[in-house]
Amino acid sequence: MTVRRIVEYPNPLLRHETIPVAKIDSRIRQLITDLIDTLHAFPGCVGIAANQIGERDRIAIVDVSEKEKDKNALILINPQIVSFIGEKFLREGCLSVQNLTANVKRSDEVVVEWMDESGKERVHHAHGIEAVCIQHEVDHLNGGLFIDRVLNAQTDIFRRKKYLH
Amino acid sequence: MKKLILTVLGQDRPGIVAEVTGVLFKHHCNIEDSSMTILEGEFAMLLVVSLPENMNSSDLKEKFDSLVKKSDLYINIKSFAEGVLKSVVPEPRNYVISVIGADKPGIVYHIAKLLAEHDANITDVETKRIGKGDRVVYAMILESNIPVNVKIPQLESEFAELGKKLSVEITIKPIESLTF
Repeated sequence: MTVRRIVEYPNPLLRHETIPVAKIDSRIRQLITDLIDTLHAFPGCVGIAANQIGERDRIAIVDVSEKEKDKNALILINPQIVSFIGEKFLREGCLSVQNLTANVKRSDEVVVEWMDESGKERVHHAHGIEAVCIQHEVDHLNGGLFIDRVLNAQTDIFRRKKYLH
Repeated sequence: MKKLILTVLGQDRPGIVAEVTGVLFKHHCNIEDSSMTILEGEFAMLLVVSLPENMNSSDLKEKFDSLVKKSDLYINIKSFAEGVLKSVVPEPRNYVISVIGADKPGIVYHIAKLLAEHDANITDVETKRIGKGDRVVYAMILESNIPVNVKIPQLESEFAELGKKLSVEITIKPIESLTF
C-alpha cells in the first residue's frame, strides 16, 4: 500500500502533456497500484491522473463506485475521448488545486477508448458523473486543469471554506 | 510568519484599495487572501495579511495612522483566534439554504437561530431585495456546514415549519462538489 504525495498547482508537472504508455511492465503495474492506493486515501475522491502523483505516463483511474453502486473502477491507459454528447454543469474540485471548487461545463456523455491493464483495447460510453470524471482526468493527462474551463471567474469559482476546530 | 486580519470600511470612492494596499506594500506586508464588497455606497475590505519578521500588529496599526487621520476610513486590525484552520476535502456536509419571500424584519434572525440551535456554522450569506414598494421580494442564499449528527429530513421539516410562520419559501440542498 503506497499512498503517494499529491502534486499541487502551480507545479509545472500538471501542465505537461503525459506520454503514452508503450508497454505494460512492472513499473506501470506498480504505478497503477499506487494510483489506486492514493485515490482511496482521499474519501469522496473519484479520480486521479498519473501526473497528480508526479509521473509522466498517460494513465488515470476513474472510480465513481462510491456514488453510483453499479459502476466499476476504470483503469485508463492511454485514454482518448472520441465522442462528446450533451452538456452538464457540475461543481468540481481537484486534489491538485486544494483551495478552490468551480462550476465547470462538460459533456454529459462521452465515448472513451483506452487500453486496460492486460493490454486489451477497450471502449466505453459513459454518462453523468462518470463522464465528467473521465473528462477531468483526460484534461489532466493533456496538461489541463478544471480551472481552465471556468467561464466566469466571479460567479463560478468558489473558495473551499476553512473551519476553526 | 505572523498573520492578521485587516478590515476597512468607508464611503465608496476611487482610491480606497490603492491607499490601503499602498501602506501594506510600502511596509513589505503580503496580502494572502481578500474579500471586498460594496453595499449602498459603503465599501468594505477584509484582508488576510502576513507581516515581515520585524513587525507586529501594533507596528502595523501605527503605519495606518496617517491614512486614518487624513481619510474617512475605519480601519481595524485583529489577530487570528487560537485554533487550527482545517480545510475539509471533500465537503460532505455543506448545504445551501435559499430563502425567498416578502421582506419583513426577522427573516435572517430566525433562520440563523435555527441553524445555531443545531450547532451548524454559517459560512456565507448573500441577501438581496428585489423589486420596489410593496412588491419587494427578499432573497437570501446561505451556506452552512451542518454537523454529522443532525438529521437532514428533520432539519428540512423544521425549516418548512419556519417558512410557513415567516411566509417564505425555504429550500435546503447539499452543495455537491466532486473531487478528482
